[in-house]
Amino acid sequence: MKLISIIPTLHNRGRIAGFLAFGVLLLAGVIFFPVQTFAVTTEWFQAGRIIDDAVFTNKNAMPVNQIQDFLNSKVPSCDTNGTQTSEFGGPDLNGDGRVQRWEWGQANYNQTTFSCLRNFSENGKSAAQIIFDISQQYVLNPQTLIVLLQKEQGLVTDTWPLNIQYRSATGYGCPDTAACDSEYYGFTNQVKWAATMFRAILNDSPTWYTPYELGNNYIQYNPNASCGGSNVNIENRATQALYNYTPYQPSQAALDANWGTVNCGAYGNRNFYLYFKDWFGSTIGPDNYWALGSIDVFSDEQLTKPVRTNGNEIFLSPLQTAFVKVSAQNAGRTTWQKNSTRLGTYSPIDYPSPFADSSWLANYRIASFIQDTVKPYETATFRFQIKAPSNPSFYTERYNLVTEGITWFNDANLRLYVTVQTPPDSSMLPQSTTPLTAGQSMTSSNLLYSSDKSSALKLSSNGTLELYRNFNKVWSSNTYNSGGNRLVLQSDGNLVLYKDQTPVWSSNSALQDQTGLVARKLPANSTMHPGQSLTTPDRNYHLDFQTDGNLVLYSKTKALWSSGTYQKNSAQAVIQLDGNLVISDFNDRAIWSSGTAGRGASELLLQQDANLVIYTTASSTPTWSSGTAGR
Amino acid sequence: MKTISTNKLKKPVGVTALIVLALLACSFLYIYAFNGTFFGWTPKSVSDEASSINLNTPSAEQISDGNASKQNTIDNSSSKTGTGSDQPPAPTPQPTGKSVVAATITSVNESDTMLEIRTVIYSIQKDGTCTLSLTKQGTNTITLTVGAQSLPSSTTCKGFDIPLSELESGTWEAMVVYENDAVRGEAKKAITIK
Repeated sequence: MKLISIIPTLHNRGRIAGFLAFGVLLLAGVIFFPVQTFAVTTEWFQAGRIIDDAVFTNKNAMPVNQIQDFLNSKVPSCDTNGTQTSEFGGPDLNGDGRVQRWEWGQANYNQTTFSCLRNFSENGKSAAQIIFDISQQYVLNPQTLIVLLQKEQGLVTDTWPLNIQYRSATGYGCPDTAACDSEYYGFTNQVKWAATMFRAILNDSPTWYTPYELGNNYIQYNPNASCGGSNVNIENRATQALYNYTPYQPSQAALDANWGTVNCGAYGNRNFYLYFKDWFGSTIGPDNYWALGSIDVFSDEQLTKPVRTNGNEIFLSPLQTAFVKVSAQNAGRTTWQKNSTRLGTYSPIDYPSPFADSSWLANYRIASFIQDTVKPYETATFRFQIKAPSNPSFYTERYNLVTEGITWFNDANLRLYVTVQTPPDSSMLPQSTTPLTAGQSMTSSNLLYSSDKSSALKLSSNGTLELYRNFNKVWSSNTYNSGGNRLVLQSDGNLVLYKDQTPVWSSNSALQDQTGLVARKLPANSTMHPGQSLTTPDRNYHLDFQTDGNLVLYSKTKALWSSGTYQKNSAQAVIQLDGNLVISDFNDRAIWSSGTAGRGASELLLQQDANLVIYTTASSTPTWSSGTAGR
Repeated sequence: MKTISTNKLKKPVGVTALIVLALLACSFLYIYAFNGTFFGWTPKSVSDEASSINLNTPSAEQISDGNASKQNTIDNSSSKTGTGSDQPPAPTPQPTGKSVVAATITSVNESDTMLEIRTVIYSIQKDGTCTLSLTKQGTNTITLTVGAQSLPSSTTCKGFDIPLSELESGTWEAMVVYENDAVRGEAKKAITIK
């Protein structure tokens, strides 16, 4: 009985105590946490590492609508008409016994309405949009710019900003001993100048002077040298950029004061840290972080011939091999090692790439960089090959850095947008690349391809020999309907298009000076096309029919003469049977001529004395010259 | 009777367990809220939390700091449109000659081949030149003159980069003089070349 009577007593007490304890904890959770949890202090402030580059340059931290929401939250109510009591005193212009902000504004700045940053716009763009656009343009975190506007002018929290705060929003262009330079006026202009400075420091621009460098620097606590200072090891570019803005570090007393002020204090960098941490979180970025520098794609291994592009879209032929060069900046805090940090396929991780080449480490692991190690702030260079799939389509390749067995990096948006082109007709599909050798011939049933499949020579069924590059016609023999059906590379060095046994076109290479395998003469009734040249045997002079349409005579060092047909759609230059040298456009309209019609069959000769001369074939009489002899 | 007593014994155990669980949950929440970590183990969501955006109204300290920046701008606006934080002092007028501005040699570093010297002038100045004189025991002097650039709250000289091959080992006295039409400032520092 005794036992039974005790148990319910304990039970009741335990229940009451339990509920009480739970209630107290719940109350503490509700009341205590919101007050204490987010009190930001300077406890973790590091003078040499105020903010990491990865955070400072994270341009994707906030979209425009989020910037706008943030600005709204900091000023729930704007005093647009200045009806609140003025903190700066009178006058009482309307004599109502109150000194209102509009009255003070009217008296001091001729300003009676006040636009909060959240409502501000310039040239039709909201402040949020301006901040966002500039952050994208200069690859900066928009939060960096927001904090800057607050620490310099208090614009984010101000319920009634003055026009002069916007005019010099980031404090640019106001020398101490001269009037402010109006070139720097305006909100957009000011934010842009700040971003320009930050980006110049981040890029270590040689044209932007800096009072501090990475490494050891003496930084004062205050403009007054007697307040002292200390050596600071500046660890990253973002911190260096902040010291370019405000060249002082907070003293220990200034740090201990958190938001407060002290004797000999300076607060710009301390407050940047406090604002950033309170509004946007940590200023410390990840250890493994990178920024994409550039992507270049070439058709040749020497990386001299870029492939055809349209914006960021690349055009390749089926099975074409392309050579890619990627530069990547180590924006994290660890050193990359050649054999462990690599490029891999990403999103989804390690997907098998249709562009994998035999040079790849695996079909999901592309290559390592060419340097042995890449320290923070250094740039790695990746070189690798891709091989286009045979199936014409549009492909998006997604790559990222990975340290094997440890971690993937941030997605720095390394993408290759590749269109593998549909050939104009089925006969353009890749075939044998066996080259033509002496005595061999080519017919309309086959093609001659360059080794990377980017260029093709085609004998079309209409009797025209056509040269394509990336499926664009770049040259033709202009023998439409000639009936040409066989191209023969003869033992005499002449490339001849025959209709059965009758020649309809030739490269004329058997007739010309073969010294050094260069042509110096355009025989009568023959044609030059853009991209073709004549060259003197000593190679001192060359006449280029440039792809811009201009026919230009060059010495080794300069242009000596030109036809002046730049960008006039020049299609060909013909030395006609009447002796006239004529450049005509794609509509067969003459756009330049030597004016030597009626002189009879002639040839154009590039002489070793630098003169370009037309001679009649019959009597070798000169009828025209470029007048460049001896130049 | 026996059955009833057994059931009654189970209830306090359940309530106690509930209290312990609530206590644990609150403790973890408390520790996490203050440190962003559970005894060193950082949950994956912390990084999101760490970069979250605070949409609360600004604190009293933030409003006060913002107002101080505004006040600074108002105070300076009669002569010029100043900026908010950490404005440099006005140049000190002299009885004769140019006003004086403060300057410091901030950074002296050796790369593989160069001695790199950087300077800050605590005044926002337009134009002007900086001249570096490097003197070794009053005998050997190297002089370099470069341009200057104004920054938001200071001015800096283009960096001085001197080939180490031109510098004998020993102690050198470096003096940088900044000068334009209105002001002059100088900074000195002893530099040891090994």
